[in-house]
Amino acid sequence: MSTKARVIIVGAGLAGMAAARSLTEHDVKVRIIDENPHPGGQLLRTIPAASRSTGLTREGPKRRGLALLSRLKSRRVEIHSQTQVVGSDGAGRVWVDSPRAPLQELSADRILLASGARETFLPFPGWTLPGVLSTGGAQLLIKGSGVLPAPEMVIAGSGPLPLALAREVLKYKGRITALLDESRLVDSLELLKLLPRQLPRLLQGIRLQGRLLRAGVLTRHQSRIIEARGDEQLAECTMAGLDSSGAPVPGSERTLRTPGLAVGCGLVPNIELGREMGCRAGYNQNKGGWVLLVSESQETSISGIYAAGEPTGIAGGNKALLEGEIAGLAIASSLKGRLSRKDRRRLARLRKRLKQELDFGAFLCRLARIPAAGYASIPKETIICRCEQIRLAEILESIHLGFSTMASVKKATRCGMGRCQGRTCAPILQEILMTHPDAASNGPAPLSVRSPVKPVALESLLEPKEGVR
Amino acid sequence: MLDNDSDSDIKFHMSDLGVTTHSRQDKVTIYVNGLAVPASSGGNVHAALQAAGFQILRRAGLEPRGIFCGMGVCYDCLITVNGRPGQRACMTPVHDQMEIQLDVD
Amino acid sequence: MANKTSDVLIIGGGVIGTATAYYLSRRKIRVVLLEKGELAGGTSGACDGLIFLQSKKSGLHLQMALKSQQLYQELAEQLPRSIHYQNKGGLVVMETEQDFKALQASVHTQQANGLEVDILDSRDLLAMEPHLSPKLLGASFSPLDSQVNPIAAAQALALGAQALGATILAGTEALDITRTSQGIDTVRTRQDRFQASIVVLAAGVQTPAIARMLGLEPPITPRRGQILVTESLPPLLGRCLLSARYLHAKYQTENGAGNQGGGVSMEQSESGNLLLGSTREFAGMNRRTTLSGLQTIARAAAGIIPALRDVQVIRSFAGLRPYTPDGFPILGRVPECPGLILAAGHEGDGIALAPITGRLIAELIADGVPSIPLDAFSYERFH
Repeated sequence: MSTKARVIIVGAGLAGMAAARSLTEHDVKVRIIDENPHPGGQLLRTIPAASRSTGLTREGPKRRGLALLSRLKSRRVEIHSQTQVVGSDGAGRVWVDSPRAPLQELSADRILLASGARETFLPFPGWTLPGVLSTGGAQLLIKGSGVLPAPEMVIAGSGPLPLALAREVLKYKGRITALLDESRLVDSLELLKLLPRQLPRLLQGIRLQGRLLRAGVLTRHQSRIIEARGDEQLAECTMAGLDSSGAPVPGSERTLRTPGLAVGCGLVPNIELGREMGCRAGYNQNKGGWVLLVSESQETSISGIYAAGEPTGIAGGNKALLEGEIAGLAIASSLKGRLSRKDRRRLARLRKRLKQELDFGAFLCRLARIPAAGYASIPKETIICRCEQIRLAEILESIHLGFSTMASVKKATRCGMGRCQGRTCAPILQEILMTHPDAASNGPAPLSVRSPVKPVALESLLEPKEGVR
Repeated sequence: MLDNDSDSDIKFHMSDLGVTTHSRQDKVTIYVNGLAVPASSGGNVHAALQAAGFQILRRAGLEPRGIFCGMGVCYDCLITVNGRPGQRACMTPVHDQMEIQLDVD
Repeated sequence: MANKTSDVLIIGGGVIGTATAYYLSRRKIRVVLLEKGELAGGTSGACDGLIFLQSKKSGLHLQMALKSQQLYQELAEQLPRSIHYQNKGGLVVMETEQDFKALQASVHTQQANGLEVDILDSRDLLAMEPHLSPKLLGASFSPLDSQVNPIAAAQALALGAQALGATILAGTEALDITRTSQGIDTVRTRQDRFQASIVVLAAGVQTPAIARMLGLEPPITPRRGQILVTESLPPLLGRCLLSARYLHAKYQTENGAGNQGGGVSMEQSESGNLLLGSTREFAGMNRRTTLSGLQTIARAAAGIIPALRDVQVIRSFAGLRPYTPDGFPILGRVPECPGLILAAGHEGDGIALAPITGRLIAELIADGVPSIPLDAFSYERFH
């Protein structure tokens, strides 16, 4: 890898690929860095290997994603897979970690952060048992590899992922013991307000529900898994109904025997790298929590660093494509001078469509959001930080002692100090603090971010390569 | 993931994606704690382990852990690959004859 | 805006400020402590937890460290929360003949000064720490060297002080200090005004900025120390460890670009993570880690424990050590500013010297005379 490209794009998902296409169209040299084994992001990871090779898929962002990938391949855009940007020098040079090569410091004229999103969860006792996995992870296993996590499954959570997973489980001849949804049925009807633009999505949802019903799977609304049990691995779990505040109704518990349980409560943006670089972040529940703040040109608070897709707000694949393209055009214009009239018109069109996708994103985020009573009803013995095995009781003790901010709870308990650097527990911890009477006044806060933002082998720090200062 | 478009109804075709690792699904063999396990060369190690029934991939203290996020975030599926410890099973592509060590005792 | 009074007002919620609050509270003195961010949010939260006696200069410095180590043992019993104190003994490992000669000489002096310390040859060293490189020539070993968790220590000291009546205010920044000819008048924060007959300034590298409001210029400069943290590992290192080269770097006072000697400090915490440190660089208030800094530490560490090559580094951080030109802290009253006491400038010895510093400042305030004279640490020695 030479040390200089004009633009480094972090993430080869829809946003990153869309930006790369706009940039290569304007003859800007691009390098894409992506930690996954193959480019395409999480969305294309869900395309079975077989149809990916033939490029067969239906309309929608995935089809456009495949087309983009093909275009980038044919234009020989540099894509480095299994490679991560793990830090920066704070002045435009990024630290790149690739397999079996020392960490390298690379520079670029512009950087685009298109690092996607991850799932978030409402923890319960037993959620660390093998056999309990995320709805997104289960979907990737099934669609990407044709492997069912278990022959029969309980699926629970909020937002669109549980439903999407249920469809895949049925398609691959798995059985669904129960499909639980946190929300009320009427919450989904809010989509009606976004008609007519969102009609296709509404119809899609109705078709999906119909398909599930035909297979005998009825979504139980206002329900939640409150415990999972098993010796060494999952054997059974307990479901409960929820009252209107979102708290489990005593007496409504039922035991479900199942070897597989998939859970997920929506998505949160991956903004760690942006924050490591010093980009300003803002908290917005309608965007999935902490997001990188960007201008109309997708530029962050740090000049020359841009962000596109889920890091600026959860809204799905179409928004990622639009923002990627906008960022690509904006970066091209900042490097090459004024855009052509055609491109300027294109930008205006993209921004208009972006507005509609943002409305849809807000709907998704509201639908997935767990009410305060959900977090307030987590049992004390529940592990919150999976890496350091920190239980809620320790967090409550810390709050009781007066260490009630995100940073001081982390310091007092080690919650968020493990390998994942708080990616899984920080959004949960924040909700716990925001619903606790003695901590809520601190307001939302993200955990501090330290480089390397993802673990690297110490060995990769040993032999500096050519071109490294 | 968010967009529920189905890939069952095929209406679109593209000739060559150049994604060679995905163009053929070769059956290969990987070794898990010395045991031969069949796997597909296009997939990732966590899927091969799951398919072969290895649910417990490591221990956090005494607690068993398996696949959780499946997308490189949670670091729960850490395994040793060809002697290199601390690799995420869900982010490691399958290669023929690779040796996997699960630290579960 | 309310007026709040106390006997003593402490500015700074790191280990020095919280230790001072604790020892003052034990003497029944009413204390308010102001911390602009989180407790241990500055240097105390970005350092290792070594209480290394072998690294102290013979004389007063070592005498204070010995006393401080004893106080830590007491604190581990007294405080309401664990400080993760572990008296595991410490090694200074030798990689070259030159290290060997230098260390032999310093061990003799330290023994003469009353420190229990011995030289181990390579075989004894490997028997004690089997994961160390067989290439090492040996080490000096002192059973007194110990370690704490500095963050836990600062939090526990604050809780201990609070239990004895102190008021600890995190998230409260001293914005302005006014003085009269008799002493300090008022310390203003965003919410309140604080008045106290004595103000203790224990703000580490932030001390000069606050002292400047009183017309003082303590020569404290931030010296950056970068530290690598590994994933949690099974026991790999039973004792605290420094490389002999690290000691050269520590006392190299010229304005160097970094830890050129390539020395390293290591400890394995109770949670199993290894802390590998640290560089010593002058980079202003910049708290970023640098790739070259991390590479320097990684190389030095892998030379001492070869198995570290395969472990994962899960984060790095940099702390700004409050460096003074002669390597000693500034402790005690300032004649030109009655009512002010300075307790800052410990550079890399802040954790080791925190209890004794807090105790001596409390004695100075309560008794007028501390049990160890503070003349050598006076503000005037620089003016």
